[in-house]
Amino acid sequence: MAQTVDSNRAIGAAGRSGGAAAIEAEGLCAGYHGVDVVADACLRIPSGELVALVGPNGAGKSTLLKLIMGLIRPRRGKIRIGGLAPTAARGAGNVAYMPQHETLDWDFPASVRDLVFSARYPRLRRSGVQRWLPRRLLGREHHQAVAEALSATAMEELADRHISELSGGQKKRVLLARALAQQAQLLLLDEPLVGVDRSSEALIFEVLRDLRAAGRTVVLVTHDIAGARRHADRLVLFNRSVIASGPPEEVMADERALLRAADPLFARGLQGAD
Amino acid sequence: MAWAEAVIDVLLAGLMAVVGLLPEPLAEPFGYQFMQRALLTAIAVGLVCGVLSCFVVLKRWALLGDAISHAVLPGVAIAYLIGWPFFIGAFLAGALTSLGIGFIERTTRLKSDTAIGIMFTAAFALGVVIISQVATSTHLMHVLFGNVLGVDRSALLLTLSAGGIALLAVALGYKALFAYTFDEIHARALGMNTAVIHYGLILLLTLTIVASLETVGIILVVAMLITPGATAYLLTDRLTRMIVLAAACGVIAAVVGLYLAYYFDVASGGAMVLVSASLFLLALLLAPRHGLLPRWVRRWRALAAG
Repeated sequence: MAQTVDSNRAIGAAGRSGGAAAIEAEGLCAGYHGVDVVADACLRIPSGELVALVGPNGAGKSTLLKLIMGLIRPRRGKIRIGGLAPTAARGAGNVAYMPQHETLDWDFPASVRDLVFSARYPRLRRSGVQRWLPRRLLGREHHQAVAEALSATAMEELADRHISELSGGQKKRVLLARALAQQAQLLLLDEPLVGVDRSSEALIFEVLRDLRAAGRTVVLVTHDIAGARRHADRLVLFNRSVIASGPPEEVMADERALLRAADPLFARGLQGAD
Repeated sequence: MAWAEAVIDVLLAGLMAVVGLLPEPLAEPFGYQFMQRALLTAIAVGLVCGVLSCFVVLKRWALLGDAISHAVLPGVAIAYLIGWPFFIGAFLAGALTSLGIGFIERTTRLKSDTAIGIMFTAAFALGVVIISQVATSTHLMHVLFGNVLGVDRSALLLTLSAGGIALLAVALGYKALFAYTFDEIHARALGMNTAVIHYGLILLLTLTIVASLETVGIILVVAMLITPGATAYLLTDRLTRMIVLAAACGVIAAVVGLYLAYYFDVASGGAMVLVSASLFLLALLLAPRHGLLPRWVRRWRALAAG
């Protein structure tokens, strides 16, 4: 098992070493009300990797995602997404985001297909007048991208259901389908595996591996270290800053790093804050 | 503005052609010019309020809508004083109030309902004080409660243009509004400028409120910005259908309310809102999926079967 994963990783890493890194951050500090939630984080994610971002609650993982999306500005430090400023990368539609499904109102009057279609907006904007047109009049490539996203996540048969009729795992899958339909270079997934049954989990990892095979970069925030170890090319331990980043086996062998990542108080003590 | 006058004439003529098909008792009030103008205004207001009400309901902006409609009063009063168009004063007042609400929310520990409560009552009080200085109480009553039977051609023109702009904006910006209303963070991740959408939607609400000023008045306009959307929300699970149904509810409420105001000589705004509330009650009881009676019947059947 470990061997096949290793060989996959070798293929994934090879041939994509050139060009700008998917994510490159140096000395990144950011927070709210003068308190840094992310402190001096440095990170380099080459493109084409499947990355698991792991850390305890309150470690600043969501803040890091917001920095990558350019939703908040770093207080200090530099961050580049595929060589661009985060706001520029987001504006170009290069960054797809899958939120946690608990934050959304599932009574919203929309079908599965409506939701997935909304992710075509960045592409529509680039195709001129289409952004103003009703969905029926849009070009075939948009309908096709939505159909492909629905089929990759096995949501085709549920496409015309109202979103409140979905189970927890199906809600995750429709949000994943929405992220796929955007056809972005970088996908950020916030806890895609929480509350998901075994078969949905297997399906989600299959989709993520296909994305990697297509040269996309995937960053998933997760608590599931075991799953990350099995499926990811790179494990990033994060607790206010990047504690370790590398192949899962190497990172897991570093007990000191694991300890720092696991204990928020200890990590804070090390950084001399509070 | 000759073309605008021509548009009004064409719309009125078209409307009267339709009214002419109605049976005599229903068509009779529209022999009067002022009733023709009232009907056209009522339909426009019902339509635009209905469409916007969907977003007010889904964004949970009911209280914010109430706040903006009240906050418009000092803007209207000041614009009247310095001779500016109503709309500009109304929009500035509405926008300033919503900015003020956001400021209090961000910088203090107070929550949004309190911030809204403080800001809109203060703005409204300012409006009442200014108007009591410069105008008669009849004027104040007109702005507060509206009088659709007294709409003149210039007010009709204002309602039609404000309503037309609002409808066009919703039609063209539908995709952005959909994404923003369902999932604001995702809308931003898609590269949308959500601040523009947010204040654009507030601008549309202000436009709609100004358009409805003469018809239902400041105090009751918020009912037309909530109830049709709420009614439609109980009837369907798709946003496009919800918008169409809410627009229909708004138009029915406005037209039936107009008849009631004419035949029983009651306040037009109040009559329209009561009809709108009755439609909501019907939907609450009878809506196929979300209504109370069908739900009780389903439960009773399940009990009887199992």
